Amino acid sequence: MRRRYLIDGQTHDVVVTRSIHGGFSIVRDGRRIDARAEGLPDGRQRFHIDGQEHAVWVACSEKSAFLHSTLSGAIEIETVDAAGGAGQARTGASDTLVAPMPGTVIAVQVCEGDMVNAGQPLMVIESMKLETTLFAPREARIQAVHFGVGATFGLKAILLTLADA
Amino acid sequence: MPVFQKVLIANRGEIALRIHRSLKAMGLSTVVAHHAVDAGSPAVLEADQAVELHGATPVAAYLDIAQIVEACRSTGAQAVHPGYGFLSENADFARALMQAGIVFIGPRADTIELMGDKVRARNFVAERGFPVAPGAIEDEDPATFLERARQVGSPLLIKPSAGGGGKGMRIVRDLAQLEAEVATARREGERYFGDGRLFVERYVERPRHIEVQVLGDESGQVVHLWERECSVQRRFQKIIEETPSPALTGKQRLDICEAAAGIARACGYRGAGTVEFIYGAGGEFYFLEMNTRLQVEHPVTEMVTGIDLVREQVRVARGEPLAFAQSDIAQQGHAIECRLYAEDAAHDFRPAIGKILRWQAPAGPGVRVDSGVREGQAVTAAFDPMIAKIICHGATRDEAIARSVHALQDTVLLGLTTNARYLTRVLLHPEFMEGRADTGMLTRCADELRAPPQSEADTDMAIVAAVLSDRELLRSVRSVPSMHAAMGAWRN
Repeated sequence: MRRRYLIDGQTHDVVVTRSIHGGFSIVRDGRRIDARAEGLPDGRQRFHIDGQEHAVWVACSEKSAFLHSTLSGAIEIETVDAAGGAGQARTGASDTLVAPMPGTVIAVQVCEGDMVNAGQPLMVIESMKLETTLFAPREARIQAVHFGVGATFGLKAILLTLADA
Repeated sequence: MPVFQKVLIANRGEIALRIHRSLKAMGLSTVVAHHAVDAGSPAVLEADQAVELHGATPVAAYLDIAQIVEACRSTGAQAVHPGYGFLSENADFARALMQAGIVFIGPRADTIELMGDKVRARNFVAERGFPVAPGAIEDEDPATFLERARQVGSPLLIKPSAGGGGKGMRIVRDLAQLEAEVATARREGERYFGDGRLFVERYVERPRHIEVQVLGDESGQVVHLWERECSVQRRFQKIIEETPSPALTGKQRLDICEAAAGIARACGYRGAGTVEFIYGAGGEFYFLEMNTRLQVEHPVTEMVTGIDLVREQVRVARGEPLAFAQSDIAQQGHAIECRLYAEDAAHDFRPAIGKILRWQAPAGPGVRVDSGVREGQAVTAAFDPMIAKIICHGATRDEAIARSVHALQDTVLLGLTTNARYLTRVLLHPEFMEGRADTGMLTRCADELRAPPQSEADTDMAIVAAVLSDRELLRSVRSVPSMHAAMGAWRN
């Protein structure tokens, strides 16, 4: 069974099979790892990897697993579609203005249906107490304003949708 | 003498919980006023009573004076603790409470106003003979402001009169740029604070941020609780604070602490406050501003003095005299606070959001953790992304650093990106270890503070974690008999 993971900006393709010892064999980047795990009473997991033991914390959300070890800190592992990217394949990039960081909308300078020129200010957002103005990347018509003044949004949220002028 | 039994906490997160615990230890009842997004937070769950505030945004709810006064009426709270941020330095709030017969646990409204106006505060301090950086104030004679600013000489710092938090501040090294920079600073001041008035100050090279905790009572008694150094800053925000400051000699420590107490005494300061100074490489120090509230970093002072500052704030608000004299307050050992933020240090400290899947605070000798989150809680962009403060005490600075590093390594927060590892790299950087950090350290040492590339062993461990948490993957792998497994993989 194959999986593609994104860890620390690097993509890793792995093939997982069952091993005869009740654990798993994982082939990654041409190398084989034998691994199994057991639960510890304090909620941690003890990993046995190629004969080494590591007591770690593990948690997972829908698309990511998270690992904490005392020596290495927290690591996020995103499962990505072998076909596409890490879930960011939305509509064409030039058709949407995506939040560069989570924040709050301070001002919206356009309304839906407005025609805008390249470089025209569209929205002011605030994050980390700093304001950033979002400008039109090209001449376009504002198809949708997804967040109003005072609304908060997450990283990569679509703030505005543009259509051809 | 104002007597109160029930106190409303007009704040959220770690500070609301921390205040609640001191109030309970004094035998008082607590009410936490909160927006719906915080309904499941530990402060709200632990409080004796909770009352919901409404607002167009969560922040707006915490800033709504009328609703908070009404919440006091409806719950019977006779006093309010404002924490830090939100309404803690709002003179109108202090007045509104007073008019409603509710005790504001903080200084008098006129003190808040005086110190809230940076220019008035600077003049007040200078007129009483305390050190301020050479500067020029626009209001004194707007027509000659540029000329007077030029006379201060470069490098200089332009600041909005109504400012704070580094907003609208600009450093000018080339006086030819002065006029343009003044115009920009004025626009920013108008946008952020609705006030375009400016002043300039001599910019101190390699500045260090040193502040002094003060405490005053109704009768005019003022003591200081020694200094804190908060030079490790990103985007003008402190991330590591400590006491004592490694920068000061014994004589300088006394001078700066006595100057702070003198400033507090001069304004008849009541309650807990902090006088901030800029300290230069030559040992000179200048008044920066006074914060008329509890600071985020107050726990380091508590760790070395053994004094609970919230308890003292409450005692002063009840009209009681200070329980100790200056000579009773000693610094024992060394304490360091690290602020754990939901943010990505690798990407310009942008805030991270997400659900807290696992939260395990560190513990051990000399370790204190002030946090206000629980597992399952979502961290959103609605508020400041600070999750917890990890405060470590040691007999020496080296021991406090070692304990802090260990505590950060033991801090388990899974589900979103935090700055835990970044903080350990800062603590272990030679500039910090040797006590040489100034406010420019994080920018100057950005390359050295970057995370090292992940080791192969860590990547292996991460892949194992992902595989072993993938139920669908495990099920389908287990369903293939092991002798066909390798073949199955090829077929895929």
